[in-house]
Amino acid sequence: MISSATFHVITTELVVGSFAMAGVCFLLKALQSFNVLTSEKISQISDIVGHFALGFGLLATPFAILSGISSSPGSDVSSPLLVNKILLSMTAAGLAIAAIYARYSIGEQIWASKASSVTQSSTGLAASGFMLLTASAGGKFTRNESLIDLLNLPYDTIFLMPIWATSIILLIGISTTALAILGLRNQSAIQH
Amino acid sequence: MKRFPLLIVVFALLSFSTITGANPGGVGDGDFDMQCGGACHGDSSQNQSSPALLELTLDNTAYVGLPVSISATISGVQFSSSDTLGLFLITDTTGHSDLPEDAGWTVISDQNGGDNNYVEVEASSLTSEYSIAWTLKPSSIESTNFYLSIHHGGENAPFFGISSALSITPQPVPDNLPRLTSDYVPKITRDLGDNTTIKISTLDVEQMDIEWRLVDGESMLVNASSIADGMWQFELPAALQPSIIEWRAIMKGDGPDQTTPWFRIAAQEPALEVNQTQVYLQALALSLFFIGLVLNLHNKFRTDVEVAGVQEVDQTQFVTDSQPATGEAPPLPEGGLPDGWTMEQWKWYGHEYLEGSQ
Repeated sequence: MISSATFHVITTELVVGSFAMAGVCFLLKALQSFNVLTSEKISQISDIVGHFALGFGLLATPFAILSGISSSPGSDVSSPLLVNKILLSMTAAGLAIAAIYARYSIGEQIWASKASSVTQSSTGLAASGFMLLTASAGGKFTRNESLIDLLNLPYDTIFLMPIWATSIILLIGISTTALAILGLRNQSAIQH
Repeated sequence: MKRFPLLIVVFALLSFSTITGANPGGVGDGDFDMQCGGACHGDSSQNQSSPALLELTLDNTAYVGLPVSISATISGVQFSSSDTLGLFLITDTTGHSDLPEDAGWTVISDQNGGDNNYVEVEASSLTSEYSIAWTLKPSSIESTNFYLSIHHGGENAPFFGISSALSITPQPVPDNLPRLTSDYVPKITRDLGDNTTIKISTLDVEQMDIEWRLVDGESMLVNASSIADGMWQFELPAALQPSIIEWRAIMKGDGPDQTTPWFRIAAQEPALEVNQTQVYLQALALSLFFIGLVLNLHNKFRTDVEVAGVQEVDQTQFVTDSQPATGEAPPLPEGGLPDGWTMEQWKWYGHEYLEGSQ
């Protein structure tokens, strides 16, 4: 049997590799939104590859989270770094889900206006950035060093909200997500 | 000529892989097979033979169910001072199923105050010869071979070495031997700032003295007090900063006097106390919040675009001359793309612009 620590290494490499690839693609799309790049071929490739890589990374993310929890020493969240990893990875997963669903429901027209184009590429970039930060925190936890140490990020500080504030944000999240999905579906139905 | 820069990039990436093939900062203490699950050194085929001299010795007679120390001596390591030295205590050289637990031995404590078979030592603390020890407990009389394996870096390459075998055959416990009970597990960690009372369960012990010291410090001798039949306790002073204390018990009774191995107890920052449900709930809330935020933004932008389209374009024309079904962009006007337009926008809304300009 493969140990959970080794499985975590495999799954995190899949997640980080996929999100990094998606990050490059969304960076290209962001540049195109500001007319820095005008190549139609790059536009199509970065659109398809970016979303596919994001989706693949998203599929591997739950395995990485679960194997990470089971391979961490002691209890589930025994260190501020682990708490930050959970918060960052779930934020990244949320952004990735939003980017993929928006692309799926709106289609290629998501790149048709500058506002939605910037929003979509920023969402993909933010998802990639948060996931790379998660990986950096993992490196800090296991090896006490990380490439992003240069930024001197406060990994030991936890931004943990009181339960009432969390509940409010959860309710806002659920209701706005439901409304947005309904809105996007209705628009799709009208178009078709 | 275009291939030349590409070749340089590929060559640079391939060269870089040898530098990043290992984890110069180590992977942290843990229970690892000799090949570290492939995580310590990126590719074991890159390993070079370590010049280190490695030796294992058994500190005392090993009895079944009683702790005993195995000491390791390392000398002649030649590597850069910024590297970390990784040391494995293993029971096989095939690279798998080689943990002491696989051979029926339990690691009770290690050099760094944990209970792992793999420990890392900072290179800067190494002198010409360095000694570390593990305390283990055998569960059967079977003979076991132990090896000390070393992983370290130097000269931009990973180095690997392994000692010759130390064969240990545990003996049955003699009658009346003053000893710890076979189920006794010493405490190996404590919080900073707390006095620590250590309880010890024994058999055939009439008197017990405790010797304790800071690592490489001067020894202190205290009497353990009997709190019940076969139960003893003593107190260790509070630690004000992360540190490791070693202690051992000298047990007297009807049988010959016995001294336990050195046990290590590490003082560390108190573990994080956080409501796990709160953490997971907040993570879920953040995730849903960002999903809702992004999708609503897209919803708004899409509605704005459609409203603008309805206002600017005649509806009859829109039905007949709507955007091309093939997805092809309309021809560009003279002078190229209008200011502020992207090709994506032109592809979908260029025909509206052309109609407007007519």
